[in-house]
Parts: sequence; structure tokens; C-alpha cells
Amino acid sequence: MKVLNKTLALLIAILPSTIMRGEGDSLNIPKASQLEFIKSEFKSTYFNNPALLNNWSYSNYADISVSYNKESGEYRDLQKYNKLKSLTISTESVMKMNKGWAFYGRFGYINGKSENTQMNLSYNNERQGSPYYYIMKTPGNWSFQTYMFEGLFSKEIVKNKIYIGGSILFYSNLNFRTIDYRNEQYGLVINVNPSITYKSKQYGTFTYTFNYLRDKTEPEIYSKYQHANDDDKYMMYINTGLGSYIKNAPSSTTFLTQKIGSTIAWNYNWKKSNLSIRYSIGIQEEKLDNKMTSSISANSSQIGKYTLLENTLHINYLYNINQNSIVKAEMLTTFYNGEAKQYLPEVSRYIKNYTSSIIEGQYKLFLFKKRGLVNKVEINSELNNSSQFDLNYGQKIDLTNVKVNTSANFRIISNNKSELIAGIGYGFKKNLDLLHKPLSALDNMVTQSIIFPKLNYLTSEYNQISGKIQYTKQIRKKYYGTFEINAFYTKPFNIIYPDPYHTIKTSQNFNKFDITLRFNF
Amino acid sequence: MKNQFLNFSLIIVIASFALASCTKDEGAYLGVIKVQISAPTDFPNQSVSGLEVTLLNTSDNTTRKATTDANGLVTFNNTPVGVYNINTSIKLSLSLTLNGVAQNVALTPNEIKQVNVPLIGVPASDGFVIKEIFFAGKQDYSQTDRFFEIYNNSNKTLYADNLYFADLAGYTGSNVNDAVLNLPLDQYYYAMRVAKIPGTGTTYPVQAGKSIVIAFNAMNFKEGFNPTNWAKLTIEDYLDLSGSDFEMYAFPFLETKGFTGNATFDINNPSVPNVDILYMYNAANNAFFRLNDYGPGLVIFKPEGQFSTTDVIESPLSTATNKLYFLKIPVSSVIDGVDVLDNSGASKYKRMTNIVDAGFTYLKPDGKAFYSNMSIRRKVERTDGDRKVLKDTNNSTNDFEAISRPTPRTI
Repeated sequence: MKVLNKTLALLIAILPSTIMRGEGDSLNIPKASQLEFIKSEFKSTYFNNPALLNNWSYSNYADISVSYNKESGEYRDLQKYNKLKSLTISTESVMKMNKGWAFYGRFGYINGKSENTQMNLSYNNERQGSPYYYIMKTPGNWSFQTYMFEGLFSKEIVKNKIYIGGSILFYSNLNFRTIDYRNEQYGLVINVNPSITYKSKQYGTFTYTFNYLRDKTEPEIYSKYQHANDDDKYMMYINTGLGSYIKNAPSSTTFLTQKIGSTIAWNYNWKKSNLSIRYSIGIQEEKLDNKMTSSISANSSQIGKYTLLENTLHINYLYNINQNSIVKAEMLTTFYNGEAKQYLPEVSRYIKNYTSSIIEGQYKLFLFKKRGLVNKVEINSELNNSSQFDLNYGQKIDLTNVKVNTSANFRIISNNKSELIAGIGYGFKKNLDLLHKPLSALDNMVTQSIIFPKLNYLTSEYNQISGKIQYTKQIRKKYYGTFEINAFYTKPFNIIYPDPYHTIKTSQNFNKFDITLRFNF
Repeated sequence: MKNQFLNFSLIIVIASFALASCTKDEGAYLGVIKVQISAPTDFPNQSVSGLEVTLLNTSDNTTRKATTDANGLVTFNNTPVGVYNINTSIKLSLSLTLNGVAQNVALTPNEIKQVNVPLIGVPASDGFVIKEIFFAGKQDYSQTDRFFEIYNNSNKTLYADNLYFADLAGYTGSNVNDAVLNLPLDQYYYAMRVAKIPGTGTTYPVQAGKSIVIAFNAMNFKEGFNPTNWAKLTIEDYLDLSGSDFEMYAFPFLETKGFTGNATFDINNPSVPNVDILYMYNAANNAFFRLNDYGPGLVIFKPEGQFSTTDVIESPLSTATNKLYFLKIPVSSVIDGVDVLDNSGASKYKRMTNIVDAGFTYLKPDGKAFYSNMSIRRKVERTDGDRKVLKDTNNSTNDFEAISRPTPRTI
């Protein structure tokens, strides 16, 4: 309840930036297909450099959307759902005002249910290589709610030269496991990013942003008592490595992550093109503490901590071929290097027991056309390399996957009043390499019950097809309404890892469907 | 400009992956445990070669086995960091087994650990032994269906009269925050609850190969109702304890202390004699006499003389608002004992020494067997005519097994 109150308070304070948009200039209201492009530019260049928002060169926008999402299928990571339904309500706006002010605001709310999450009592258990999450063999159904608030501002301090800005990002996650007895998890993420931009006519624009993040998650996990012959389905563990785990897990813990970092960015505009390069570095520490210790306890409150060094390089290049066509190339590469330490009460200090290294690369190239049959042609590739090592057991996993997606959107109908876009897409995933050495953890519960089936899924290769229908209609002079359907169908064609349990089969599939109603002005 | 951009992008991509490939590949912490088995001083010429030694990783419950060389040495290479229990035994005669046990052996990163494990032999009692303890209970009965069973493991009739039993004090490791009692166990064990079987000396004979059942409630649970909501229960899977030999009914004891008992959980069957309750550490209104929910440290014993107030000590875990007192039990008076803890890694909570129980046992290696309906039962070693002789090596790790449902009077 406290989390909800905080959310509402912040929402009331900053929501005017989204509401006021309706009173601004509305002569160039973007249609849905244009809005997609503008939003992607905001995310690429401005979201991480708040002070730069004063250089916003696109039309202001505001939208309100309601989206229903449904996913299902057995081709999935066993620690994630095989069915999900969620409803998202979101409002978002960018507004550049007179007197040197610019604002961005977004509020979103997600409410959903997911089913059959296995070997996972922490719901979202993947946090940049962090090993810490609760395990229970009994599959769980979850209901979840997320409140999102994102607010950015920028103010011109010295005309055409210096701008200051900042952002506050606020996410509140409430997860409830519905089949068990009082299993719930609350999370609150606050991200504050003060920023300054210096603009030089000759050398372009330089932006520095300081990043601070605080992510506190508090699980209250109570394993249900077993009935006769229930075996060990309700045993509760905390994973601490790749084979290392705590078998007598405390039911009430705190996962507290704090991160500080810096982002520097350079933007340069030529006559027909612009380039944005952003580099950020951050150091974060996640601490896992037992909340239930007492003065007579045999153990201290510390359980473990995970430190992470994060490096991100982002390059965004835009080239206006002519008045109608834009080519955009974007590269985002992030490196995570983390290590976990377990607290040993016997020696009263932390001992390193786990390392992880992750490289995530996203490379996009697309052609966007404002008019004509072709609306957008896109090729998007993702490269992911993940390496994990457990020092206690010597278990090592190293795998590299590449995903490629291509898509094309076509304007079937286009006039001043309406637009119909139809899109098709094809994608695939390939495993480039895999190394798995269980060493002394071969018989370990985590290896047998989690790592084997997980690798079975992660290294499998699939084909994916997708389709899209987007219909936009001008409702009144200044408003557009958009109805959009997206569908994805994924099916594996090659199972690489010899999982003894055959968790993944080529007969399985996974499909995703979302339907959105958007109103923008 | 386009060329410049492409060149720049290429450099960035190559540099990125070059950086990533520099990730250090560190060595694992795998260590070595060298176990040296040595002969007991009483049997200096006892061979220690060819013994099977079991290494139990109490973190993940995986076991490894190896055989000692001619010098009694066995080496476990590539052993993960963790806490281990080491166990071996050799049977010298029908009544004497040598046990070699080391518990809570912590292996730190890259350590070569030398563990000396002397064999210890204490002759089995050749008398009463604890045959079964059912303490986890069944959820429908809120554990009111608990019992334990004492078996005459000898070849002659014994009398249960004035046989004492006690549930020893201490946590079992069921909670990660459990504190260790840290009391010296060389002369005394420390009891939370003590009772004795009544009788004049020859009132309760127990034939060779027969047993007595001591129930918390001597009821027929097959015809029962759930005490919490009075719903009629399905009967097939439940126990009929109405034919028990004794019942642990606490009302008379509590009334002498000015308290009343718990009428919901503690129900008297007038046709079954009650044990004489002598001590309850938590005597208060609504209390009842029961075995530890998560694992009793159960001993049967025959003390010399009576207990007095000087045998009561305050627990080191007492707090200003919660005073705890335990009754001292002389180790020398113990006939048999079984240390049941919550899980395989709970050895630091052991409540009795090696001469009574060199090991410990549990229902599930990962613990949390509350309401599981599982039971701890002593294994059968051999059959002597019609009589079954139960395994009694003074090491419950080897002598007992966890079974999925209780089996009173059944072997």
C-alpha cells in the first residue's frame, strides 16, 4: 500500500507534462506510423540524456493507449511462464515549450497473470547475471502489477549553449504467487539522472549525465506445508551461483541494488544527417540480506552480494536521403561483468563464488518512408554472449546466440484522413557456440533441474514469423485514433543441447499476440 | 561522411568484442579431502584398509564413496567448497560396530583438508531400543497423531516399568536463524520434557522382538474429525493408535503446577495408561507433552535416584522475557538415543554425543518435513528365528531410515 501511495504522489506531481500537451501546437500531429519512428528517436537519443531534450527537433506528441497482450506455448524457458495475459494502460508525451523548457512524461500501468513458472519463486529472476533468486520445484501461477512513471525535463540556461535537465524514473512491481500460501514480492526501482548539455556550433553537442539507481525487492516467501507423499516439491532454496545454493532459505529477505554511473554523449548535426554517440559506465552492487535474524541467531543477516560493472556504447546515425526517406542505423552494445560473493559466517567475510560476463549487442538498420507503398523496411540483429562460472563447483557455461529479424511494413491505404499499414516479418535464432562443463556439479539439484532444461531452451534454434495490422484514422482535426494488432509465432527447428529430460521439442511452439488502441494528439 | 561513419562503427564493434574476449577465466575452488581412518585404542590391531567411506555434501546432499587404502587413507579429489559429513563403519561382532564419523567438515576454497577419523566402538545395549519415531504428523490432525515405539531387541523378556524417556533441548536447524545451544554434552544431556513408564517392576513385560507404542493421543484416527474445523476425515491413510500401550497425557502434571492442559490437542483415552510426566520446560496453561515438531532428540534411560531442583539449569538461550530451563540427564544412564535433526546440514545442532548416537538422522535431506506424514524407523539387521533383530550400531545415520508413512508395531 505504501508503494502505491508513493506512486500516486509522484504521478500527481509530474503528470501535467503529459496533460498539458493537448494545449500546445497540434498542426503536425504524427500518424501512428510516424509516431513509432519519433518515439524510437526519443528512446535512442534523448531518454538517456535528459538535458538534451531542449534540442528536440521533431513534433511534440502525446498519446494514450490501452494494450492487451497474450502469450502462450510450451517452447519457453522453464523458469518463465507458458501462458501470460496482461493489460497495459500508458500515456506518454514530449513537449518542447517556450522559455527554454522541454518535458517528457510517461505513466504506465500493467496488470497481468502468468502461469506455470517452474523452479522459480522470484518471478523476474534475471537481473544482469545476478545469481540470486528463490527456487521452489512446485510450478507457480503469478499475478503481477507494475506501475511506471518516467519524467524528464530540460531547461535552457545560456541561450543556445548550456542546458540542464534531469530524469526521474520510477517503477513499482508487485508480484503475487497465487497457488501458494502467502508468497509475494514487492519491488521498487527509482532511477535519478541529473544532466547538463553544452552546445558548440563547431563541435556539436556534449552531454554529461550522472546516473543513480536504487532497486529494492522484498520477497515474503512462505513454502506451503507438504502433504503426505508430496516429495520435495515445496522445498525452498535461494540460488547463489551455478550449482551453489542455500537449501534452508530464509523466507523474508531484501534484495537491494544500488548503482552509480556516468553517461557522456556527443551529438552532431550535418545538413542531411545526424550522429549520436553515447557511452555510459556504471557500477552496481546488489546485496541479499536475511531480514529475519535475531540476536540469538547462529547466522548474520548477510547472505551474499553481487557487484557488476556495466559498459554501454550506443551509436545512432540518421540520414535523410530526401524529403520522403530516412535511413537509420543504430548500434547498442552492453557489457556486463559481475561477480557474486557469499558471506561465510565462519570467517565473517564475503568469499567470491561466482562470476558472470554478458555481452548484449543490438544492431538495427532501417529505411523509413513518409509516403508511398513502403512504410518501413527493417533488419534487426541481436548478438548475445553469456558466460557464467561457479567457483565452488567449477561449473561453467558459455554460450553465444544470434537473432536476426527482418520486417517490412506497407501502406495499403493512405490519405489525409486514414492510413492502413500491413506488415510481415521473419526472424530466426542461431546458436553460435556452447560450452558447458558441470565438473563437480553434475549431480547437483540446480544442474539437474534447472541448468539442463534451461540450456536446452537457450541453445535451441528457431524460426519466427510475425504479422502486423495498423489502422489509423483522424477522428477530429487534431486527433488520431489507432487500432493495431501484432502477432508472433515461434517454432524451434534444431535442438542442440542434449538435455536428458528432453524439455524442448521441435513440436512445441510459442505465440504472442497483442492488440492496442491508441489515441494521439 | 558515410564512409567515416562506417569505419568508425567497425572499429567500435571490433574493439567491443576484443574487450569482451579479455574476460579472465579463473580457476575453480575445488579442493581435496583426505580422510585418515584410524583404529580405536581398544582394538589397535584392527585393519582399516578396504573400508567404504561416504562423503556427504550437506549443501546439495550429493554423496561420494571411496575405499581406504592399506593405511586407512582415502582421498576425495575435485571436491566442491562446502560442508561435509564423513561416515564409515565396520562391524566386529553382532553387538559391536566401530563407527568413524566426522561432521560439519568445512572445505574452504582450494583447501587440501586432512581429516582424522578415529573409529569408536560402544557395544549395543542388547535391550530396549527406539524402533520408530513419528513426529512430523499429518496436517489433517495437526500432529496430534504422533507416537514413538520402543522395541525389545534382546532375546529375553524385558520390563518397561520405570523406563524414562526424554526429548532433548535444542534447535534442529529447521530455520536458518536457529541458534546453537552450546552446552557441554560430555556428562549430561539437557531435556525439554521427561516422562517415565509407570509400574512396579514387573507390570509391563515386553517379550523379545516385541514393542510398546507410546502415543501422544491413543485414539483411532481412522474415525476422526479434523480438530480445527471438525470436518470428517477420509480414514484410509490414518493411524489407529487406540491400542497404544501408553499415552502422553499432560493434564495431571500441569494441574499439579496450577495450570490446565490443552483440551483441543491433548485427549485422554481412559483405557490406555498414561506415562508419568516428570518435567515440561514449557509448563503453562494450554501446554501439552509432545516431541519436537522438527526432530526430537529422543533418549530412553534409567537414572539412579530421583531428579531434584539442582538438576534443572537455565538455558543459555534464555532472554529476559523468555526464561527457559532444562533438566539434566546423566549420559551414563542413557540406554538408547536417536538424534533427529531437520536436514543433512544440521550437525551443529546435535544434542547427544558419539557414544549414544555417533551420527544423526532426518526425514528429508533438505529438511522441512513438517506435516509430511513421514516417519523415522530403525532398520532390520537380521532375523533370529521368528525374532527380528534391529540394527543398533549407535549411529542413527546408518541405523535408521526415513519412511513415507508411519508403521506402528510393524517391522
